[in-house]
Amino acid sequence: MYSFAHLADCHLGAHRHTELKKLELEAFKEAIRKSLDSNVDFIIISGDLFHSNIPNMEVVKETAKILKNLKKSNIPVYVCYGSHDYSPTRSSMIDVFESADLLKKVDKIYLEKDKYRLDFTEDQRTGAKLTGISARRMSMEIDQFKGLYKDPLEAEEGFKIFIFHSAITELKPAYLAEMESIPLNLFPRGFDYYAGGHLHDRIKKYEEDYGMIVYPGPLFGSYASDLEANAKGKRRGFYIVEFDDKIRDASFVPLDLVDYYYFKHDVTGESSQDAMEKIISKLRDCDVEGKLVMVKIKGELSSGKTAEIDPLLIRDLLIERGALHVNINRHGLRLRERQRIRVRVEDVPQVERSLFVENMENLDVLRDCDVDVAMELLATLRVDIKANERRLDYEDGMFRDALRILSLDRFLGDLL
Amino acid sequence: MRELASGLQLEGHGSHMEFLDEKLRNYIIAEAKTILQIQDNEPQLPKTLPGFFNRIRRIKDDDLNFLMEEKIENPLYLGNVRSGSKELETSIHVDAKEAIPHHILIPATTGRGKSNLVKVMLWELMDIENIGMLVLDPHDEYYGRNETGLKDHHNKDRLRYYSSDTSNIQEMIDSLRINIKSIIPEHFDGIVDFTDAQRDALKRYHNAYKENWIKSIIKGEEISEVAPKTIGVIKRKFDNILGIYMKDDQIKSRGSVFTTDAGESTIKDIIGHLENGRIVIIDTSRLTGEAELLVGSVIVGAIFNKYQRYKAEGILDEKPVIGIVIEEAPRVLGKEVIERQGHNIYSTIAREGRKFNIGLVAITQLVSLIPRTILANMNTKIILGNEMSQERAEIIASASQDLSDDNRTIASLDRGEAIVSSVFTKFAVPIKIPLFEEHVKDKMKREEGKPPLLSAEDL
Repeated sequence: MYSFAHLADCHLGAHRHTELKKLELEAFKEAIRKSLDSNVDFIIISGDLFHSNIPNMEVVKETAKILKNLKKSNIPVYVCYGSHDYSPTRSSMIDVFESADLLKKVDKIYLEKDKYRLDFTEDQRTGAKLTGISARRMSMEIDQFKGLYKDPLEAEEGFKIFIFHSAITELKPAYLAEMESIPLNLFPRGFDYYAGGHLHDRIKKYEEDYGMIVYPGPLFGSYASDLEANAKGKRRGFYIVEFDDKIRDASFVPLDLVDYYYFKHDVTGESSQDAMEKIISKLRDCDVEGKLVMVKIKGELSSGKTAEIDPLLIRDLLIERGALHVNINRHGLRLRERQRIRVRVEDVPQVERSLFVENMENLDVLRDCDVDVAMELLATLRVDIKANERRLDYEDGMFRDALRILSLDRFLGDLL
Repeated sequence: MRELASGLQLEGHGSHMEFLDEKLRNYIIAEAKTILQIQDNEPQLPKTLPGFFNRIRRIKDDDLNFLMEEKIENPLYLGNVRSGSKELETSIHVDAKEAIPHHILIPATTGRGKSNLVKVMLWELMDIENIGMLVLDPHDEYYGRNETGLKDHHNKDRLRYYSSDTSNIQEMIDSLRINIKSIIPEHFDGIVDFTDAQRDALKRYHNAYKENWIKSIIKGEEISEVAPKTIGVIKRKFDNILGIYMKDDQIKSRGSVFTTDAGESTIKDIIGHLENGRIVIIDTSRLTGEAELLVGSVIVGAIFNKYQRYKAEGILDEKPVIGIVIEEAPRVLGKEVIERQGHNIYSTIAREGRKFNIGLVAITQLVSLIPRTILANMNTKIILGNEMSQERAEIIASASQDLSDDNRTIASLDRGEAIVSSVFTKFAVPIKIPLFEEHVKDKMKREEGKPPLLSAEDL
């Protein structure tokens, strides 16, 4: 019997706060530790190992150490790009690590007579055959799925694993209905295991004609909404899968790194002063020692200002009481006279998308683009300069990326 | 002599005079009816008869210039004008964005070309922006799984096809899977025959267990106000309709459409496609009649609620018009069904949809089963051949123009021949609907003949 670990959405480098940074890295270390304890034969990371394609060097250094240890232990790591660590020019940190032989990308995809052909990577110890399709920005991988030459993949004998980083339409949770997704019928059939990433929810489902489809969800959580879900009881972790010529067991391994405390207060009908007093008084009695505290304040204030629900005061109180980290969500807080909710979502990307949708017409520069282009441009432009990176290189890279996103790179070839 | 005798009778001479051998005649009598008067290329309803001894000739294409499609903002092609069996060059269009919210009725008996007409209409609608069409397809005939269909349209990105059978299809299609969490008790209204006690039980379970109410019923979880016997009956009905049941302490799904572990976003996805002006075909060929209507009810109910909200927010005009194609319409619009089970979402749309830019394209063999109040709301009728006199009488009685003299004409309409009676046409227009396959070939040839679009590089 062989086994492998299936991780996804590690999002290393997503957090800026020290405590959260430590936890996201600790989650990855713990997952690898538990995998080694279980004597896995190989590890799959189905996308978004990093939160960006060129992450912070501190994060890179720590990750390199972990991957180096795995290499020493002769445990191969098979990956595909996620939507965050994807690079159109195949020059992300994933590619750097692949060049250093610390991990292997399985998306060996070639365009052949208008169809995409995928090759398998065979794991030497177990004979498992792995292949997959990486994510691209704006879910553009759907074109590769649509044009995939599936017959040879389906005809291949042996134990087969398909690695991908895309939502499957049929398995999307209702709250992610607007997320781009790939219908199941575009996937090749007859694989033993479909190692998914991208959905920040845990899903394990046996699908007739296909096989076992698993999304482990994130190891820790990269957005406030992930952490809020954790605080409400959602457990994060990864899968360990046992197999011989077929899957024998797929067990979820939870990573309970930290205790959470979830606090919710609805201010509807209260003045800002009353609400603040109630919040403070309730929080004074809470046991938050060493916990990651998620505070959600929502509803319609009868009077006062939303700014009077002072997050700093709340945070200071909780930190004083020993909270490890405090996150305060006030997106649903409003005044009576401002009843219209401009956006009904709470994730940063979803908020950004909603704002683009609402304001596209007013943005001259983006008038002829679509929201996906705007989102991709925003994601690219917000990447910080790296430590030791020359400003000239940084600006040049940003300029090239922006032109590519706006499909202008072809016209300005001579200038580049 | 017969006409002479009639003339003498008319002038009051010899009221008993009649021609003895009526069949003895060596000429043909053509009876004409004035339907339209065209003056300066402007059509008007005729108020007078033509003068005596005016010249009579067959209609020509030039006479119908006023029907040219350029004048219509969102022209939906239905066919070419027909004079008797002769097809003219003039094509007939209605404004899709006006006609669809005002509902379209397609009455005909089997084999007269209903499906062909709907295929042609949907093909044409694929070229019209800002219209979302939901097609409940019980015969799986519109997508073109194994033959020419909408999948072959050059605008196929506007098409989404949901089916419970995704095998042997290489193109992108969506599995029709609906999580039972998407269903609320109101979706069964007018679709499934529940007693008052059962209906009350459904609502109590929904209130108590929210989105997990069906699961709770199937698991047999008890609520004090509901008799276990009632729950037993509901469980059996859910088993029959949804194919959801308990086995070995686990909820199982017999069919693949209604599920407990997938399809959570399907309804929202479909609504999203419709709101993006796409044509969504739901292959319901593997579902029972009730399950088919339930699937439609869930989707239509959701889009109707959403459009009601858009109207309240004052943004309805920014949204695409929505059309819903439903076959065997009396299953939901029939008098008996409505009287027995009350109104359902389809009959609500037939009555109120126009205010929210949602309309039905209802197909039926039996118009007489649909109440007059609903028929009166169907402002465009594309009448195909019908041998049943009772049905013809209902069609004629509810037509937008006076078709009282056309009873025999409707009976003798050949396959593909139709009469369009609409509040959007000045007169009831006889048309010839092209055969779908030939229409597609013709359209594709025209597309091929067009110069290619300039690429960014050309610019």
